[in-house]
Amino acid sequence: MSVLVTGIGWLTSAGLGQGRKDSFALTGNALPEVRRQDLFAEHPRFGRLDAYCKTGLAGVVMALRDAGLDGPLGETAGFAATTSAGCLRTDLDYFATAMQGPALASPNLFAFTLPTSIVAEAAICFGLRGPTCVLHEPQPFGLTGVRAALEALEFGEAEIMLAGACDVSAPNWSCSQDPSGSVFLVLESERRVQGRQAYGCLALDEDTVVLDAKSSDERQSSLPDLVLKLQNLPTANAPRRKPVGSTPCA
Amino acid sequence: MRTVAVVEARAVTALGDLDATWRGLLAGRTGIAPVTRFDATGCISRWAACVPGLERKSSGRSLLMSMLDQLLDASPILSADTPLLAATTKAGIDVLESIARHGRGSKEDVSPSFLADETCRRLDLCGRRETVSGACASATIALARAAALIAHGKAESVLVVCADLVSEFVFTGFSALRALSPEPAKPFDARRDGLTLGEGAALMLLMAEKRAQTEERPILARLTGWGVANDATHITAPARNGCGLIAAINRSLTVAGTRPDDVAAICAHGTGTVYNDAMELTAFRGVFGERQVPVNGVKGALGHAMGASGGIEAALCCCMLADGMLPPTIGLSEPDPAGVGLVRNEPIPLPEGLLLSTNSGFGGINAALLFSKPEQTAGGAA
Repeated sequence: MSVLVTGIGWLTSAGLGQGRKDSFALTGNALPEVRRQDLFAEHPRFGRLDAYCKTGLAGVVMALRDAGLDGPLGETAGFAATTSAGCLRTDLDYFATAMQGPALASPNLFAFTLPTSIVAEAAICFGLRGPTCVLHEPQPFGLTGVRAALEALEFGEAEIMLAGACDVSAPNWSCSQDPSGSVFLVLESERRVQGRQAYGCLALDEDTVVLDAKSSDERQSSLPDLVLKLQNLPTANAPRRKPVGSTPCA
Repeated sequence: MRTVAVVEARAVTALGDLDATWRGLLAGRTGIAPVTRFDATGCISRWAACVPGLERKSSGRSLLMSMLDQLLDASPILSADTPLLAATTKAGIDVLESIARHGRGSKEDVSPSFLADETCRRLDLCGRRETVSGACASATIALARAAALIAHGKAESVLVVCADLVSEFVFTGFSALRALSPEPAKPFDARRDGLTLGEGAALMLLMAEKRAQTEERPILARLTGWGVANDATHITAPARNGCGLIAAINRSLTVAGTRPDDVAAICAHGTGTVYNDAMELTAFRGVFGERQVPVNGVKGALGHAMGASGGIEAALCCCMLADGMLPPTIGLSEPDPAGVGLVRNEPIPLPEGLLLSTNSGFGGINAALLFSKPEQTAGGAA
């Protein structure tokens, strides 16, 4: 079964970006600060979100904006993301408060000590009521989330999936300079897209994500590489949906 | 779709291995006791359900290693390329505590990928591996994913392993949220006032039924339906109308090709918090109407084992089906008015039909599994 990529969005050290209009690159440099007004007209909780949530939400917003989609997306919409470090930075911040004594342990920080916190925020903002989960990989920005999303679509569990990766490194934890950021794709079933312009088709060849390019099926090894390939594929013929601007969030 | 069989089920809980846990539940025993692993002074509770006999085998390693020693004391019979889906919320978080306090510990144990990596190392598995993070529905989602892979012909068998620890990190956090009960949890009780943390691990080997028959494996149960859905309402609290859990249950019924009338009993999430248990009773009424489907919860005896709870409860579902009994909801004295006639503090015979197991977690995540006896056909008939 082929699935269409209808939106690409990201937050990297170079800033927010989407689709083909922005240049994509993932590096180990620090992420820029994300402002609420860059993503949402309104978001009552944005200032209280931790770095991991803000970063993940940024990629989701940009991908949906690129796809010309707004919420609520409903029961046929789901989410599958991969992460390596997850909420480790927030874990360390939270436990620093807990070490001062139970009375000083921060409930606000503890609420963000699950990697699924980005699921919650994305689901609330865009009404994602379908299957949602986060998957861990030892290395950042792999394709496990994309694979899970493709499987959900193939199995009929959803018709649209936000699929991608989010990682925010924890200072002084790892010796390596793994990149931080988030990259998300909007994947839709062919039936749902119905001739709208898409970047390309993805499929699964056993357990491997394959870019179903017209010239050849190419196995993909990482999400950043996949994004670069999608950016450079020829566009399909159908016109795109009108892009949306800043989004109010519940 | 292919039929999915459960060919092996194990658990490690505060009451012991799966058989000891099952016998203990039927006898009304609890594994909840004052926590001694760390100083809980200042927290709103001092109770937890800890696995006996866990010890740090080597300095700097997580207690999860010891828990895996108990869970994997005899290797299941597997081919090396069997896919592994692991599930955990905080993995070796006890090592993060040690690193933060003393600067000592194995950082690799802190990564959620550690559970999958360590399991693969011990069992010599070299195939696909994933670690599912779905809050307190992590193991349930892993089982749903495993079943879907088999049903759709993507795998012949899948191993699911889940584990989570009682840790100071999580204990102080739930205390800070004021979500812990000052006394052992009372699921579905009119006077319930919070959860009690627990720990544990579970292992389930799912296999295409035809393959299981060819290999002459014992079939403990069929996993006939599964569903995952999100409330999309709040980052921690469940949707009061139970919309996400209703959707997950309905998805599982659709996958099973069956109707609500075919569900005989429910192994509920039943944390003992005011809002979770109310949400579940609302959701069950939303699916099953006024029919009094018996509901059971085990967290009043085993505590809330976070990401592992769904796996432990799924393993116990196999015991329920095998012995034809629904265990008591330990901790329950006076049912919530919405649970009268549904929840009981004594064991009852399990009616004929499907067994529904549900779990819900932070982030609005809900998951449901439907189990049947091995000889049961779709529609609940034997």
